[in-house]
Amino acid sequence: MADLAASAPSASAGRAHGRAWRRFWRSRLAIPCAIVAGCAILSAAGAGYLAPSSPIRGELSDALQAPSWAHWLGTDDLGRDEVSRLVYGARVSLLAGMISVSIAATVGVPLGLAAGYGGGLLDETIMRVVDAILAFPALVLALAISAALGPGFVSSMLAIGFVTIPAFARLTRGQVLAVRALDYVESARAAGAGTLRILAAHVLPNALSPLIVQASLSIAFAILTEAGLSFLGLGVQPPAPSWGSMLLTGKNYLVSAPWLSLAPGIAIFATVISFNLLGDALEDALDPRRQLDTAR
Amino acid sequence: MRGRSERGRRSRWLGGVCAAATILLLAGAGAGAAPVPGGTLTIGLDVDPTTLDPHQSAAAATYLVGSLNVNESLLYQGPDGKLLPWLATRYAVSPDGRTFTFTLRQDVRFSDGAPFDADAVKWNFDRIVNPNFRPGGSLNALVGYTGATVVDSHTVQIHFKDPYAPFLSYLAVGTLGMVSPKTTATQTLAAASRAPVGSGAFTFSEYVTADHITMVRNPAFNRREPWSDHQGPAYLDRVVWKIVPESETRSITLSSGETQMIYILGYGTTTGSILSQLQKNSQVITDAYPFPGSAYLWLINVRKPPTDDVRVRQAILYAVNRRAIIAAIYRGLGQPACGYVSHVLLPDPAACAYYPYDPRKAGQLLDEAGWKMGPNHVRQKDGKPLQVVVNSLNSGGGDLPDIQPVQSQLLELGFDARIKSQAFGARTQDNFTCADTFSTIFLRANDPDTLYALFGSPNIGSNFNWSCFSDPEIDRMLAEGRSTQDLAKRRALYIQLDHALLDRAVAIPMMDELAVWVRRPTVQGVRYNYLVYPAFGDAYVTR
Repeated sequence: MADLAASAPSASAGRAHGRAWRRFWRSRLAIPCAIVAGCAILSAAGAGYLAPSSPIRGELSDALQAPSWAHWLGTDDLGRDEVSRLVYGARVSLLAGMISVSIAATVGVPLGLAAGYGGGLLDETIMRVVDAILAFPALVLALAISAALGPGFVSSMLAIGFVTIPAFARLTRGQVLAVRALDYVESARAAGAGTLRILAAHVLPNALSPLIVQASLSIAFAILTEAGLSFLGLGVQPPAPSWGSMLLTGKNYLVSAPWLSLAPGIAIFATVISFNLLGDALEDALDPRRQLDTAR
Repeated sequence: MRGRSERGRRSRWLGGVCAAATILLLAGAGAGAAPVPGGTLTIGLDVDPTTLDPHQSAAAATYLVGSLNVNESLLYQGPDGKLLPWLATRYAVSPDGRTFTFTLRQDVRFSDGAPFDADAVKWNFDRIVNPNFRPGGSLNALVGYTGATVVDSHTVQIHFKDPYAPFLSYLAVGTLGMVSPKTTATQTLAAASRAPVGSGAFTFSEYVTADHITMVRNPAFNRREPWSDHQGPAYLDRVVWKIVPESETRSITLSSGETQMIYILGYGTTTGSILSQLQKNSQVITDAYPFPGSAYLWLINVRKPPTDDVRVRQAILYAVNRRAIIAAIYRGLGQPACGYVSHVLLPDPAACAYYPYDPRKAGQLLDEAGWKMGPNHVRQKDGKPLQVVVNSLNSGGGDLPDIQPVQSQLLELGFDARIKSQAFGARTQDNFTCADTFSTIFLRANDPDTLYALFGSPNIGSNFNWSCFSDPEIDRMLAEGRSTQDLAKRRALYIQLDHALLDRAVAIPMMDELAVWVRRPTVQGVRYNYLVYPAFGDAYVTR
C-alpha cells in the first residue's frame, strides 16, 4: 500500500523533469548565464592551473601597472597580478555561496519540515523565531554577526548562512502545508508510515523544486553579501584575495587605477546576475503550473 | 621653540620639499593681484572634528579648523618653528622653570564683546583642570598646573608643580586656545562643542555633523595677526569646511569645483597616486610641508611574545623595506623616517644609520632568537609559530595602505603575520590591554616631549604607550627632557633618548609625513603655521 502511494506522484516524474529541462534550455538567458556561472566554477576549481602567478606575492616596484600583455588586468597597489587574484577570488566567492547556502539549507529545511508537518505550538515557535530573524535586514544582521564572531572566512560564512535560514525554513513550511493534506500523503499515513518516512519519502521530494530555485537565488545573495563583508574588512583576511577585498583596494585608486575596481566589480556583477537569472529560469522550468500548461 | 640656525641643519630632502613648497606658494601668489574682498572659500576636509571646542577636543582637525581662525592662543609658532607673541605680547619664565608670566594685549575682545584679559586666561586654564570638565588634549598640555595668578588686568602668572619646559610650545598648538568666559559659562559642553566663541578673524556660524562647518567673518576684528600682512577683518565672507572622508572623492570635488582647496594626509586612506593624479592637473597648486610630531610609527608590543625579545623586534625593523613601501604607496606624502620623532622637529641624521633594510640580518637575528624556519614558510620555536598580529584601524574605509605591504614583507621572512582589522573602539581597547603585536600611530606635536605620550610608563593602558613599554632609564630621560630649559641641552637629550629607544626597537619608524594642501590658483593668501594649520585672515578667492 505504501509503495502504491509512493508511486502515485512519481509516475510521471521522469517525463516532467524532461519537459522542465527542455523548458530551461529554451530560456533565452539560461545558456549565457550557465556559461558565466560555469566559468566562475571552473576558475574556482582550477585556480591553481589558471592563475598566471601567485595571488599573494608581488613586487612593490610593479605596483599599479595598467593592463598589459604581461598583466592582462594590471597589478594592484602591491604589484600583485590582478588576473591571478581574480581567479583565486572566484574560489572564495563560490565557496562562500556553496557553504553558506548549505548551512542555511541544512538548518532551514528541517525547521520548515518540522514546523509545517508538526503544526501547532511547534509551528508557532519555529516561525516566530524565523520571523524575528527576518525582522532584521539580512546584510545588517550578517554584518553584526560577522563583527561579533571576528573577521574571517568562516565567520562570514556562518553569518551569511544564518541570515539565509529563514528563506529556506519559510519556503519548506509552505510546501509542506501544501502537500501534507494531499491524498498520497494521507495514504502513506493510513498505511502506517512513520513521520520521518513520510517527510523524507513523500513530502520533501515534492517540495524540492522550489528549494532548488531558492538555493540558486541564495547563492547569488551569498556571493554578494560575502563581497560586501569583505569590502568592509570582515570577510576573507589579507593577503588572501576575494572579490570584495579587491574592490576595497580599488576604492583608493578609482581615478588613478580604475581597473582595480572594474575587474572584481564586473566579476561580482556577472556571477551574481547569472545565478539570479539561472534561478529565475529554473523557477519557470520547474513551476508545476507551467508543467500543466505544457501538458494541455 | 626652534631657532633659525636649526633650519640649516635639516636634511637635504626637507630643504628640497620646503623650497618646492615655497616656489609653489610664490607661484600661487605670484599674480600679485590685489586681495578681493568677499566671497566663500570651500575646503574639503578628511575627518569630522566631532567638537570645535579647543579644550574638549582630542582631534587635530579641531585645531586645523579653528586654532588660527577663531580661538586664538597666547603664542604663535611660525612655519620656521619660532615662537612669536600673539595674544600675549611678552613672556618670562622663572629661574626654577615653574612659573610663566605673560603680558597680554590690551586691544582684544571676544566676538561676543567680552574683553580678553588676565581673568579670561585664568578662567580658561581653570576650566580645563576642573574635575567636572571633559578635557581632550588640553589637559595633556597642562601637566602639573597648580593655578594662575592675576597680577593685574593684563598680566597673568601660570604656575606648575615641576619645571615644565614644553609649556611655551604647547601654548601655540591650539589646545590652549582662548574661549570667551562670558558665553562659554552659559553654554552646555555640547553647545560649546558646536560653536565655541573666540577672538579671531572668524566666528563659527554652523556645524552639521559629518557634513560641513561654516565660519563667517568677524566684522569687529581689527588687529594684525602675527602671520598677517594686513590689519583689519578677513577678506573672505565665509569659509565652509566640507567633510569628505574619501580621499578620491575629495580630490574629485577639487577637480569639479565643488571645493577650491582640499587636505591630503598620508596617515589615512590617502595614497600617493591621488596626489600624482592631482598634480597632472595644471589647474591646482600643491602646498606641502613636513609635519612636526612623532614619525608615523608601527608601535611594537614589548610585553607579548614573540616581540618581548628585542632580537625579534630588531629583526622586524631590518625586515621592513620602508623606502620601497613609501615609494610605491605614499610617494609625495612623506619620506622614510629615521627616528621616532619627525625630522623637522628633531633633526638627527645619526638615527638614519639604524636599521637599514637588511632581510638577511633580520633572518640571522631570528635564528639567534631560536625561531627556525618550519613548514609552510613559517618560523617556529618550541612548536609554536612566529605569529604577529597588527591591530589595524578600519573605520569602514579599509586598512591603512601600508598594512598589507608590511604584512607581505614579514610573511617573506617567515612570520605568520596577521591583520586584525577593527573599528576605533575595539582597536583602542586592544591597544590599552596590550593585546596585539603592532598598532600604528602618528602624533602631531610641536615638542619632542611627544615621546612621553608614546613611551612614558604612566601611559601604558591609556594613550599612547601602546608598545606597553616600561623602562626606568627612559622614564628618567623623559622627565629630564621636560624639566630642561636650555634648548641645546634639551635637544641633545632627546636625540640621546631617541637612540636609546631605537636600540630597544620599540617601534618601526615608518615615515616622516608631509601635510599636503591642494588648492586652485584662484585661492590666494592662505598662510600656514608650524603645524601646517591654515589661517584664512589674509585669504581671498579671485574670480
